[in-house]
Amino acid sequence: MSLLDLQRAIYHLSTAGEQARRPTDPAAALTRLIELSRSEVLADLPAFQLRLELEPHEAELVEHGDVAGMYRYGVHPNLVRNFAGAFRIDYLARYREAGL
Amino acid sequence: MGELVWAACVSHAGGQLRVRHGEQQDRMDRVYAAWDALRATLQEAEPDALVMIGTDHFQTFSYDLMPVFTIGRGAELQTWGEFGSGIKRLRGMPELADALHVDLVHSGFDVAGSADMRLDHAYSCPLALLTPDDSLPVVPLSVVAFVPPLPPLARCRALGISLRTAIERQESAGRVAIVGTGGISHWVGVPETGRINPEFDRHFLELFERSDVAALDSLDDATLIREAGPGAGELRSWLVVLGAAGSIGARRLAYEPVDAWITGTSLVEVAVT
Repeated sequence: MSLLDLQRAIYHLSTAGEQARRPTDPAAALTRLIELSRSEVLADLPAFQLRLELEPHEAELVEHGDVAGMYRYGVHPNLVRNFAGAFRIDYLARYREAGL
Repeated sequence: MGELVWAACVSHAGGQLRVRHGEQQDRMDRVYAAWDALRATLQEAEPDALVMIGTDHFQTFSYDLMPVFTIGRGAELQTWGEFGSGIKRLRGMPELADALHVDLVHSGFDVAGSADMRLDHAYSCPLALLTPDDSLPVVPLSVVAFVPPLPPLARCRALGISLRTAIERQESAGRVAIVGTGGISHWVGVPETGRINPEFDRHFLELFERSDVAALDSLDDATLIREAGPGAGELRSWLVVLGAAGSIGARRLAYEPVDAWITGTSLVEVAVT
């Protein structure tokens, strides 16, 4: 379990530029982010290394854009808000649907 | 020797840029009129630089590194461009930032320095309304407001007092203006998003206007979060400005609870000793 790595992933996905987030669905964006984190090129550049070790259920939260699940899991609300903004998700509506 | 010539505290809700018309147009208009008035007094003060006290919303800083206090020392400061403010490269003032940084550290405040600190809407939104022509060089000072451990409000006011001394001791900028941004009540990213608490906001403003430092210093985070939302942590920037200005009073230019901005929105001009 790594809430830190999940929040790290959400942070990078939310702050990446528009090009880096294309295609715009969270699942594809996460796949690209993880590929980048395992880049051999970046391995030689410690300052740019990104360590991500997500559990399957954590990755699913991102892939499904499950902002209510993120909130329940303990992701900082500001990170949830930023992620929702980056992927055009109405987090408040999703919270309501989830009974939050 | 520098001089503090102007001080203010403002809300930085991005909605002020994105939603300029709506059901509460009268409230919005009063806020925009207050921005006009504040912009005018800032221009009259003829500052050489603007020190901005703000926070970061997980744009620039993350759990990988989140200093309690950070000063931006770059010659250029790139913004994140949220709320339609546009990605900009603002002018910094490295010589002023460096002087303030050194003085604050020697005064006992462990402020981090960033050579390349990007600025989110805590800075870009007020700047769009205060200096739309980007005419003033900016020195940003970030105060953690959302991720514990948070500096106590009294500590923030003490930082402001030391900041004032640092401003007066430096020789890079003769006339310095200072603005703190954030607040007042707002809930964001949580199920209560959209809630505003005018009762708390008006009480806080009354304390701030008469500079009741004992009452302000004693505000604890549990009370702030319960009554004004996690966003009220940003009021730390207001305490920094109050300390820097001398804690002798302030004048409310506007307070409006604007639903479209999901914030109890306020602009206050702070008296300078």
